[in-house]
Amino acid sequence: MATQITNYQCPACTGPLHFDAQSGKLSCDYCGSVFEVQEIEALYADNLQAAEAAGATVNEQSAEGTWDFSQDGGWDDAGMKSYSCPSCGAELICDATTAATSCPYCGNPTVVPAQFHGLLRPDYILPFKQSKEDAVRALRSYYKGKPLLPRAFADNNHIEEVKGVYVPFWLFGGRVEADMTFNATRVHVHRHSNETVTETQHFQLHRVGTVDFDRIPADASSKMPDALMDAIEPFDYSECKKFSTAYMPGFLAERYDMASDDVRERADKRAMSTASSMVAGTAGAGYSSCTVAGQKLRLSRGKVKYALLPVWMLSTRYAGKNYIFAMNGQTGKFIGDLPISKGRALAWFAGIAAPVAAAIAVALQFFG
Amino acid sequence: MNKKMSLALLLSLLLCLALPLFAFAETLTTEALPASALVTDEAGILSTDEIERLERVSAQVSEQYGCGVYIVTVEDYRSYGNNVEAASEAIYRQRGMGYGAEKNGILLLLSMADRDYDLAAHGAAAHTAFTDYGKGELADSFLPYFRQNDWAGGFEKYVNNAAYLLQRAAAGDPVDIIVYDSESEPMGLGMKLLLSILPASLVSGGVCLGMRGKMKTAKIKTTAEDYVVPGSLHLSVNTDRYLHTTRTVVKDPPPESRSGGGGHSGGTSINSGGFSHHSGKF
Repeated sequence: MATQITNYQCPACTGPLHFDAQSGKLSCDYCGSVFEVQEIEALYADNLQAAEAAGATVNEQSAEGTWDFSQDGGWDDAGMKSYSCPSCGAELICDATTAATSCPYCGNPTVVPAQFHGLLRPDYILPFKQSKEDAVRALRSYYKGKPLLPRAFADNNHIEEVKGVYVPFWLFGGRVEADMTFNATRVHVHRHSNETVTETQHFQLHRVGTVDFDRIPADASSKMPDALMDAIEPFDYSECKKFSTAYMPGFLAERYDMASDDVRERADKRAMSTASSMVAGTAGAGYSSCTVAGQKLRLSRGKVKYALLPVWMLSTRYAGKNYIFAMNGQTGKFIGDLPISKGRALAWFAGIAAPVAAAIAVALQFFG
Repeated sequence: MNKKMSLALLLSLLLCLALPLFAFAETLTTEALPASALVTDEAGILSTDEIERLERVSAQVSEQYGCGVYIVTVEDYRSYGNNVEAASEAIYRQRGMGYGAEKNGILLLLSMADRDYDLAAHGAAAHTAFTDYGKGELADSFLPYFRQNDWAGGFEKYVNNAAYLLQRAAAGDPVDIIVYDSESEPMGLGMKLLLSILPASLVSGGVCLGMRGKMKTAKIKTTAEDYVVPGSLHLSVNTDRYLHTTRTVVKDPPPESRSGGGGHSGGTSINSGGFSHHSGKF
């Protein structure tokens, strides 16, 4: 079991390495040495292959259902897995989909390469560019300019957890063909003697167009709220790297637990909706009115890619309720629902309504 | 309560107050009246008693304000002019109507053939008292009677309310649309409160909803503009086919009167002949 997980250690002092979002390099917590990702990848190439192979064996045998999980101790009934920390030997118990974590005893960043073996191997990884400190600052800043936020939430708020997570996403490409018809009119109004003459020319417009889409994301983790993951878009894919676990130390990572077929409908709808709008946008210019009379949308699915995208997840608790926020680990876009103070809402309502009503009343008194 | 009803009530109230004055005035002599009769019933729709009564009251009003208040009924205005306004102007001039050098007066002409009427005012004093708006209100006060073929009742309303308009003008406060709006129908406290609170609540609610929107930012995306391959939109069919044309003709609404009373924008519209009119059907 020990060969299934990897601790990236500093070649200089054997201290734990973690990926630094600011520099894009791996740095040692102890001696401060900094290494390029490629250097560490080359150093750990053999270990990673062995770890992946070990994981593949386990996966293959478990798929056949021949293992006695109760005796093995590596699995439990709740879809958990256990690993031995190569640094301190402690037993790590993780979700079956956990791909990167840290040892709760020694704190060393730990990667489970077996989670990315074969078909589970992502095509891309988008490294973090925003640090944990950036995420905390962003949360504080997010509270500003929110007059309805309860004062106690902002003042006494203690962030319970800040996690940098590589979230699994399916990226869907494809082409949508939109065959649309429109009813359009051109209206001319002119005066004739004591009459108003309105002449309306009616047209039927026909547009058939195709629109290509590239890498529409849909998160592949059932643990991640879809609304949060959608709202932190977009990601700049030009900074994607070929997948390597060397970007993971210091962060959490999950492998997908939702197949592409489970989430592709979300991407399909988005693509078709946008294609419809774009083709509709080519009609209507020069007309007084233009309405869609009918449309047929055909989606040709293209390549599906699997990527790990960086997300900072922050959670806090207020009035017995959990509040979860997400920040795009690349762009810093911050999203999350905040509680609303009913008292403040009422105060603002009255505070605005009262002077406006008074001003109108004064105006009516003088001019009414 | 609409403006016209309010004015009608006000006119009626003032009429009640003015009645003793009229009663006293009945004893005055009418020797100063010009030669033209104040009431001429060529159409024969009034009884002798009614004519006498109307003559008396009209004479009192005319004498008091120096402005003739005339009534003429004809079978068909076409005997006097191309239209009802031209006919009333012709009658006014031919019969030497009007008081003083400026020939101040107001004539109500009823043409029975097509149920046309015209209010024609002449002279500066008459134009001051009988503004376009005032003439419209005056017409609204007598038309309901004429539509019921209550000729005497309608003419009495006409004379009495003409007296009120002259009285207001004599007091330096002629009835016109602006004066009427501000004094005759003051807005009630309840209405003022409603008009203050309702828009204020809408404004405040809109602002608060905007604030609330800032608190809820996690939303499922339904479009994918960010992932469109640049320049990938290609149209293989792009046709616009003409089908047909529809033509709608809407005639202008008939004016409330052919001159004078339509605008209600204040003041009096006087034509080149020195007359102002308010005419229509009864």
